[in-house]
Amino acid sequence: MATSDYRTEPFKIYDKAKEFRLKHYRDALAANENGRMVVLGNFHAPKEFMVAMFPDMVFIAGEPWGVFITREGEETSLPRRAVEEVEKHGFKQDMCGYMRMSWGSMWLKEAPWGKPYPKPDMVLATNQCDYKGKWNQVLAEESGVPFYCVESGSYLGDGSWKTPEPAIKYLVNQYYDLIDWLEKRYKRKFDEEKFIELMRNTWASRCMWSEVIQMQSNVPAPLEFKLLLPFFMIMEYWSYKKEMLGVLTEFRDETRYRVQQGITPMPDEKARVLHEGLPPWYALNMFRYLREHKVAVLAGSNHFMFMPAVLPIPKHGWYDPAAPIMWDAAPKTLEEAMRFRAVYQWHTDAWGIDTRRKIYNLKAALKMLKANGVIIEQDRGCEFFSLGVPEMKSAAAAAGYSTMLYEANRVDQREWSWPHVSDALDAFIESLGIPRMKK
Amino acid sequence: MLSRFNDFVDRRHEYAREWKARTGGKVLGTFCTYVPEDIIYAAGNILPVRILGGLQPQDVSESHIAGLYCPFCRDCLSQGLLGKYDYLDGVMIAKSCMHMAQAFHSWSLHIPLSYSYFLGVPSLIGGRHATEYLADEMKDFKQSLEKWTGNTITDKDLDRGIETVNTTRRYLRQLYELRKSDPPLFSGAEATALVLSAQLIDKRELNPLLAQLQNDLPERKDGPKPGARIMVVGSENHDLELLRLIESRGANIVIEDQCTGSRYFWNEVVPQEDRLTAIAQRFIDRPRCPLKDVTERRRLDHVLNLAKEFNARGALLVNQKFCAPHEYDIPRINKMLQEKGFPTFLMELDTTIHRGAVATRTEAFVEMLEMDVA
Repeated sequence: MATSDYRTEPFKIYDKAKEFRLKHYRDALAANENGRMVVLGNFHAPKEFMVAMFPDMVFIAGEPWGVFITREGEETSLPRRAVEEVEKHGFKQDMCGYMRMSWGSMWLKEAPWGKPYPKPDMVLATNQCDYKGKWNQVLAEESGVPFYCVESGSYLGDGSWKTPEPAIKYLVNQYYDLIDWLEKRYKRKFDEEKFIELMRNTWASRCMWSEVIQMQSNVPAPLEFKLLLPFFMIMEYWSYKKEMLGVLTEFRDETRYRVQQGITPMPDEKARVLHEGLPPWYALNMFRYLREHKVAVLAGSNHFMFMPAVLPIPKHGWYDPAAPIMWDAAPKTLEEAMRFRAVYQWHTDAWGIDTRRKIYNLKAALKMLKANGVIIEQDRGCEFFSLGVPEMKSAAAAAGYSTMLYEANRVDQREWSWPHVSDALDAFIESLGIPRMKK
Repeated sequence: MLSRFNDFVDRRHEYAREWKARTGGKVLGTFCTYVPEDIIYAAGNILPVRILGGLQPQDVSESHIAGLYCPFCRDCLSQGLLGKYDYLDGVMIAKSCMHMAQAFHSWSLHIPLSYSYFLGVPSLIGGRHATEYLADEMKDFKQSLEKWTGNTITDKDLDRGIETVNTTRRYLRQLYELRKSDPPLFSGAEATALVLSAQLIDKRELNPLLAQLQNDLPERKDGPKPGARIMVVGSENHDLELLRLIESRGANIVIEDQCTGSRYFWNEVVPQEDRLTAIAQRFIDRPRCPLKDVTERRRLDHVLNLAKEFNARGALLVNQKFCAPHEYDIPRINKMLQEKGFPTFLMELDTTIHRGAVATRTEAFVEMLEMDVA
């Protein structure tokens, strides 16, 4: 545990990343007016295939759309009205929070900033959990537009890193079918060279991300959880874009500079912890509370699982930083590009449904980041992130780490109880050897 | 004549222990009806047993599975942790929902057995590559069983396995025809006990009993009394007491679209040269679980056809609390049935049930059907 004080300095690239996020929503809300094609779906939908055919297309993923409504729709009480609208349609409160924001916004025909809900031309999804396929099925039905969905196959369930070939073949076959379907439907040729380029950019972005996450193991940590959030969005949404590769390069370089100079957002770091899962987006003040107690929140193991480079056979474990960018291993042909996309999609999905992987990843991340403990969000509106949570908590505790579990819903504020969460935080902070502050 | 099937359900653990002692075989616990029993029977002396909950309050699963997951998956795991399934040699799951996957993972983590298998099953079963992919998965599964048992599974073995399970499916389908009469020849609780028996008992022993039942049932004199004919649609439900309670209030359950009902046996494996492809194809063609009804919907038509074919007057829509796949489909099914003239009522299932509330609501629903005021 670090005890001495360090230098601090603003993270300059942060505002630029936030601006990209806002620009995306401005573009999304103006897309209908500007005659741009709008495709709805989920973060991990195979959107790069669309981009290779329709470079001007606007892809709106439902998960960040839920966050957008939660954070930007508050003035008009859109988050509450959206979930209530879903309940009026007969769907239950315990269903996926992001999905309910997405549906509610659709049924209310309303988006933040006084804008209408964007009318889609198509829905494209990956059936990643029990919700994603059916969530998007309803979006397409209600909007009266075509729906295309792909899925990963088997999950070994034994925590091994083996990549099951039947599952990869299955995904790649679905990708080829998607190309065929798009070409026939839109009478436009799929641009193979463009797709390869997009996958090479993705490869480089993932290498870059891995390197930054590795740098978080420095004491003091150059970044904190909140500073990573807009980059998380860039990685999930646009890691295939050359422009974003430039942003990520700046992100990596500035982080490297901070490590070299000993710069940290928390100059008096007293303890280092992970936050597992995503935060309740309306209550990010809990991170301020931790900061006031000198607790540095570094990242979550999902930061490793969703976005690192995927090597065909990981030589040094999953956290191989793959840095500097291993261009030799980047896809060069359509076949390699398809396989690369299938392998990283499969590993992402497998992480979500394999408890042993989650335990392994959490313990590895705790060790690598020199953390003292972990805060785990048990999300009442997300089965994907909730799978394995009690087992992860037990495993981390058995390995000697301080642990805290809190229940919340990332977007449905009706489920939030700050008095309970802050009590749990106080106990957790004390378990890290830091006395609680007077409230 | 039907009480023995009820006993099979009630005494399922005793049966499995006795079977194991008698045959020297292995018992394999299964978590979902997408498990290809045909291959397990082909492997020889293995008894597939569906893992069910104990329908009793318990406090052992909470540190393994979050309370926001369905009570069924937590109840199943609790039975393992409490040692009720101490006779199992292995467990397996066919990929279904995340809740059951969690029960399987926690079981594998905390109850070490010599065999544990996660079988990939596509959810987008309308896709062009789904059968091929599932057949590939079946091939891997077959190899893993061969490794576990030390026996090679030949085409002849697969033919035998398919015939054993197809026979059960055929008998159950034929028996279900006897529910079309008014009143039906056997009750919903008895039908569910029959289907559950098929998921718990060695089919080589069960099939002759089903044949006998098929012969005897038409002569039955103590069957259900006339009542409001209802269908049940939704989540897994093995609570026979609940079904008896519902039927004691003037309802006759005449058909179910559930994995503890018709979905389990509705179609047979149609022979093909490649046996594993044939087995895979059956799952692709099977009446869909909501989780497998993505992209183009098929369930709505299937449910409506069942309601008409079995002359149901109304429908009970059930879902295990927090069961996401059914929570997606039930509002759509509810709307469709009501539009087609089938009144509905919704019931949330938990490990234990409030009997008084169920009785009152059922009576009200039956009264509404009888008065034709829906």
